[in-house]
Amino acid sequence: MSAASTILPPLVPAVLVLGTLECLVRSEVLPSFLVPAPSSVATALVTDAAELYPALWSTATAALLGFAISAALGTALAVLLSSSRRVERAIYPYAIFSQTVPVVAIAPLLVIWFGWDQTALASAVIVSIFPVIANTLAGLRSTEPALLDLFKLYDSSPLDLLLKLRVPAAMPQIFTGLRVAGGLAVIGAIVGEFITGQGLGGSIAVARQLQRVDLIFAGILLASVLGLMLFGAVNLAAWLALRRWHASESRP
Amino acid sequence: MHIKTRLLLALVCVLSASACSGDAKPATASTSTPDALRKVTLQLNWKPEPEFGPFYAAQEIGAFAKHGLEVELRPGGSGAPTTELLGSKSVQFAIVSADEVIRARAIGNKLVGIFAVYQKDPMSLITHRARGLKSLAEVIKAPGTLALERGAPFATWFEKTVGYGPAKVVPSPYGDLSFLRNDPSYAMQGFATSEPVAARKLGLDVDVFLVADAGFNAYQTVLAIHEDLLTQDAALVKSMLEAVTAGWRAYQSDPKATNAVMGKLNPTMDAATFAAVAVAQLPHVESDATRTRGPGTMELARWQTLVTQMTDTGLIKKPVDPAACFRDPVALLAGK
Amino acid sequence: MGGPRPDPDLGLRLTGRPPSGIRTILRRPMDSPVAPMQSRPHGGAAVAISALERTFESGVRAIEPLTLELAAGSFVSLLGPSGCGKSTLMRLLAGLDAATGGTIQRAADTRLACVFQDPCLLPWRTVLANAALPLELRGVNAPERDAAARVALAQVGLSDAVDRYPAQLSGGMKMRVSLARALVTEPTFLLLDEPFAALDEITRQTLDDHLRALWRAKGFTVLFVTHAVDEAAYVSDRALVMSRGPGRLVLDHRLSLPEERTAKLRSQALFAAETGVLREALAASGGAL
Repeated sequence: MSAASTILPPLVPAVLVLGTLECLVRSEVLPSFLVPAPSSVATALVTDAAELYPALWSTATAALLGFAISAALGTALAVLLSSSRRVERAIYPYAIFSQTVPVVAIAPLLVIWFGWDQTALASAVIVSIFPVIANTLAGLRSTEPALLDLFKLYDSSPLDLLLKLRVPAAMPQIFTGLRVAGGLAVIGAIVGEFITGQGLGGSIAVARQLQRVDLIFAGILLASVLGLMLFGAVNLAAWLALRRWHASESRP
Repeated sequence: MHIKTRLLLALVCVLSASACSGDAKPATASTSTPDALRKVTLQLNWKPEPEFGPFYAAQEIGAFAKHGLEVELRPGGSGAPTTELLGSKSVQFAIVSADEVIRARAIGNKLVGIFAVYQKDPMSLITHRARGLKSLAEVIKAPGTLALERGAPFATWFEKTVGYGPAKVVPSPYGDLSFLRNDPSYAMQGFATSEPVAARKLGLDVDVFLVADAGFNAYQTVLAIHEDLLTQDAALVKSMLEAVTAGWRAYQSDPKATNAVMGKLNPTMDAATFAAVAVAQLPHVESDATRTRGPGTMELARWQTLVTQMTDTGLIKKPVDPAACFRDPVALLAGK
Repeated sequence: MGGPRPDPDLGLRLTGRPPSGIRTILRRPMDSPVAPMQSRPHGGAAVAISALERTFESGVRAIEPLTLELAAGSFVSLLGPSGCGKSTLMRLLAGLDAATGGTIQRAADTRLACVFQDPCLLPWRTVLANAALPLELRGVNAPERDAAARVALAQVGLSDAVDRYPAQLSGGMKMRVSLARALVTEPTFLLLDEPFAALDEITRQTLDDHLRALWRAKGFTVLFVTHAVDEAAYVSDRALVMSRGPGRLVLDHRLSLPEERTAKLRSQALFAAETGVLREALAASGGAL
């Protein structure tokens, strides 16, 4: 696939929508205090750089670190849950519960437990950990029985069985979970930042108070870019890990 | 490209339709028959509380009906977009603050304030008495945690004139006192009329520092409209003001019945708190101006000061005419 | 289920070093439900099965009490229609399942290896790493196990493919890797359960030749399960025929064929006679192929 055929198709609707929006706002069909003209958003990305880019860095570190913790902790929890059905039945409901709690509702608790500086990180983990647990667990539970027999024949230790069979076999599923968790980590970080006033979430909240719609959308745009980059990184990792052997990555 | 053209057409239609839907209520002359009540909406910017006493009282004493109106009082919450709703003409009346009017006009949203419930800005910084701080400036400069809306006009004004100190600046908790309870060096913004009452009820010993005493005094809980309503339906505006003025007087003389009504709509505050807040807000609602001129009155000098302050802090980028921001209700009712 | 653990030396590592302390704990083998083991069976038997039976929880009786001896170094094939219990017997012998009656006796120094119809390669590992897996799981270090794996892969003619991944291999090549993996522990007893059934005729015959050549060179005991009569006759010295479930032995036939088997043999009358005997036994047991 040429570079043109991968980049052009998503660009065409974007250009059309943005162009239409620009015309509608300039001609005052759409009120500019509700919807910003795309050109004003682009301008804000430059004029408000001093506010936006440190904020982006702050959100990026919270989201990336949160994602890494979710990936590690989520995988570890899934391994624990996969060890026995009883353990799974005892603990899994709480994992599900962690996904449904609205982070904003427990804001004071988060600040008390984690402090103002780590709340965004905590929020990113809370919001993104469940897909990792769910997908990893599903992957660990779906090892082919024939392969399990094989390891049994060779008197494999439980540790070897986990590390050399079940985890590698679960990799495609694990990456699926990581793909979802990446975007959620960004969202989680920003929600946490609504509470603490830091990062892109804080900037967007202040922009709301200042009624600067262009700045709001500039912040949203940067957050989306961050999410896309994280998603892309996970995809790249998946390709590197799976390309030799899994159908999902072996053909373009 | 056929499909793309159709999609583009559909997109334009959808966007235009949403823009057009703002002109929901065409301005007609007021009701022709005396029995038909004119249905209008008044969007509040918070839950029912004593600050909205005049409006609920007007409803209670039948003042709205008497002036041919059926008013839906719609409660709001944190972040209720009252200026946007007025701007898109989704509602005829809404509650805003004076600085919101100025900001709206600066970006082309032509709002007009017509009745100020709070004459003296009740915005304040609230913190633990044990800290021994003596003024608003001291609170801002002290170490600890300072919770306020960084983009709010009063905050930007004090950031410029006083300057933040070593405190960690975090967003306002919007009435949630958990942070204050948990942290002895926490200071938060809040209306002097409500949060301190709730705090004392929780057993917290707090000091309250009014922004108005430190040089920033914006009219608050301002009944506002879009400018077009004045030209298109001045009679409606006048009727509303008559009713609200009556409600104001009724609430000032006896708030109990109205408090009971609001208490049912807002179960988070109990009757005792309602009563306490109604008392606490008296110095903000009544002023020399209201005593000499009338309820809800506003004067040009205050608006001029506010416009200057907001221009100096860079909150507004385009010039705003202070006189265009408001109409004095007393003058309007007298037919001027 | 299952009594004492299998002999920990059942898989002697090539180095001959006994398992050491903490590594043994970490690599403690899992409980495998093998029928109670007794001391060395009498005579030169590699495996002695006595009154072995397996009835499942559902009440289905897979094998009737079966008594059988496999001489050390013999090549035995096991024929039977589908559902006759030959796979069940294989799993019992391999230790993957527990008998509900009877015993299996194996020589104490037996090294067991299995090859199944599904080559069961780990798709994320190279051919070399797959072949080396049994040694890796026993704690043999990398240089030693890789060397052993290369030897085993050379024995099955795959020296050129050591760095490829299973996704890049044909069916026949995958089966050869599976075979190499079985050979890498230098087994004394090789169990094969319809290993070449999924392959085409030509590949199957090639691999039959390969297997027999390896057997002649190494001298391990082989139990080769198949449903193909021709293959059973061609590759083994002794053919057992099982009937449809509950499985029981209906024929135990020593094949009178030359020691060296070549492609020409398949078209000779002698061969036809032997396969005829086997087919008759199959038909008589009511088993259509």
